[in-house]
Amino acid sequence: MNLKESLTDFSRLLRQEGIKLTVAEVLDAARALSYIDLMDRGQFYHSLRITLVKKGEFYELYDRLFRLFWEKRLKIQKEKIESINQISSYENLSEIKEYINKNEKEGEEVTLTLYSPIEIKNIKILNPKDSYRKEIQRNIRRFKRFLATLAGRRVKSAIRGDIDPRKILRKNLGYGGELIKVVKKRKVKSRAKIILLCDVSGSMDGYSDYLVELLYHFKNSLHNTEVFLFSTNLIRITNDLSQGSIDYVARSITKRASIWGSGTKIGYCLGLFVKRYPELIDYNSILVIVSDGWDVGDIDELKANLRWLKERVSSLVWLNPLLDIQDYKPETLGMKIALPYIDIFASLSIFKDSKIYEKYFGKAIRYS
Amino acid sequence: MLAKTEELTVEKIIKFMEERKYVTDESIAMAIYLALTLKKPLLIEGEAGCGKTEIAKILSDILDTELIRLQCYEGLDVNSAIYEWDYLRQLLKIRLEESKKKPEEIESSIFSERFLLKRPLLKAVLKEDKEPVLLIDEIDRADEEFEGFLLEFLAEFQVTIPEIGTLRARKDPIVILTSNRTREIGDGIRRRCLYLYLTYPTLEKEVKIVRLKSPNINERLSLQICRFVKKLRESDEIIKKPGISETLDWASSLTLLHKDSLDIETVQKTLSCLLKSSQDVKRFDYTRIKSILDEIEENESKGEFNRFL
Repeated sequence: MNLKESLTDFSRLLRQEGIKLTVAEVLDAARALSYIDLMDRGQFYHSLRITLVKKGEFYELYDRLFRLFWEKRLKIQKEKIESINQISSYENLSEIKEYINKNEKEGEEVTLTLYSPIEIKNIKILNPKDSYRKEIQRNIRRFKRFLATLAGRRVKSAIRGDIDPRKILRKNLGYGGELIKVVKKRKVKSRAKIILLCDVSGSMDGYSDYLVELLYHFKNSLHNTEVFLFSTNLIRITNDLSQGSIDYVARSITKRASIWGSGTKIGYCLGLFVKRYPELIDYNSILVIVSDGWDVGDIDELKANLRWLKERVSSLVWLNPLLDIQDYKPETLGMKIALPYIDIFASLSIFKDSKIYEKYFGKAIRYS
Repeated sequence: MLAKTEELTVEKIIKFMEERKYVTDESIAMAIYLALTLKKPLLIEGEAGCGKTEIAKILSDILDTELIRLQCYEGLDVNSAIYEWDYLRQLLKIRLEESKKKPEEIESSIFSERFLLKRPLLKAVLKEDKEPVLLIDEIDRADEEFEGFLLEFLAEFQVTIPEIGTLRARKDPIVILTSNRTREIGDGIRRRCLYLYLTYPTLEKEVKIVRLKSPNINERLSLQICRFVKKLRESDEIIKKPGISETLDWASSLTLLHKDSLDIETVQKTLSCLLKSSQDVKRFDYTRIKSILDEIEENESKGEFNRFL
């Protein structure tokens, strides 16, 4: 197998494991290899990483795959790589599994990643109908306006406000420089950054299609939105949500997220979020947790991470689908722990039903 | 010694950067080397204060070329990034010439390059003698609309001014984009760029940086400083984790105070060099500082100090 074929196979392996790659990037990698000393391990390793991996969070995964593919000289035949692409034929990965088991016995740390198909227990079939589109988009806009409070750096023309010299000059250019029209400006409210952490564990199974619909419209209506899925692990799906139609997005999320329908560890997953993405949190961010609160993880961990987040975000919103059930009381241990840290506790249906939205945001339930 | 783009190798980049007091490694040097040879923009992400912007500054110094910097922020628009007409001068020109010239003549004269206020991207496009280093700093702070515009700019290195026409870069700029990851950068930008993720340096590397930047510092103190900072970064409770620049500020302050080693009182008095949030300072009270200093002392007694000498 020559270098060109090996590079193609390696990039397919990266793609299969969740690292997004286009042909252009593989070509960049091939070009990069022509400028370096191929016998130098460091140069080879770094040039492939610089050209093929475009997110820091994938560096660890790249390291493992690099070792697996190049250094250990695992003979993955071309047709077997192809078979990896078929999501149903996991048994063909036995060679990789065998290799990993062998290395684990030798004391080497080789583990499969979150995105590995081997970890997929249930393949979730998502079928979002997009039947609430208009209602969802309308209520997302209302929700954003309700929560955005800080004056940003953007200005817009207004009847009342400060004089805007630049616009006055521009506007009066047509009158030969006579300052006839006066333009005023005022600061507009800053676009609040919304971070959605969405529980996709087994207990939330019944809401999956609506959730995909909601997350899709959130990201595509409000650009300043970050979206994560969690159950026993946490994955970021922000960029996946703006890749095409809602059906395409649903298929792409299903492929990436191996965590649909498993157990829940809210505290642990919030901890992962805090450790991996602390830079997303600031005084302008609104954290929205979508979960029914059925937690099977460490309660102290949940408490500590909620406290950490609460101190740093502008608002903490918890959307619980069970709030639609008459006489529901948030009495599970997870919910009891979370309530003191929540600013707004509302039903998940607020976006698809304006009446429910008004019920909460006319009179939002505030616990703190 | 200054270098030409085509003459640079990975080894030379490391050497030139270290001559300019930037402690680097193969991954950074390789990223710069590939950005120059493949002529592609380089996107550098990482924690605040770990030396992303410095890379662009040093590269412009190595290549002896101009550094053109575009600082991104929320609401950054084309008028601040590319060009703006100098309305005041245009008005004066109209007033001066309205009685002498025809309106068409006035119009063609006021919409010429003389009345153009060149913002960073246009400056980079119009640079004629040598390709500049264009630093697009903190791209994550700009809006997605601006990111979309940037995609087009990075692909063609050209800008269109309706009154003048399309201007193509005479020398393609060397583009470095940085991001603190306060927002996820779109896949479009990522695909068009080479990528480097910078984390906080290892203890060994940070000690080397401190010694290089503050040559008068006591060797024991430099190790204590770096170990203390490392402990702060490891703490989940810290909101704003100190970057390398904070470490260097602290090292300089302690040198000015003629300190040979860390003690509780000094740390308490100078902690504001490292922690920039009142909540963080409150959390690091006497007990926390003492426990870190005890740990450092314990490491020293195990002979860790000698390992660094």
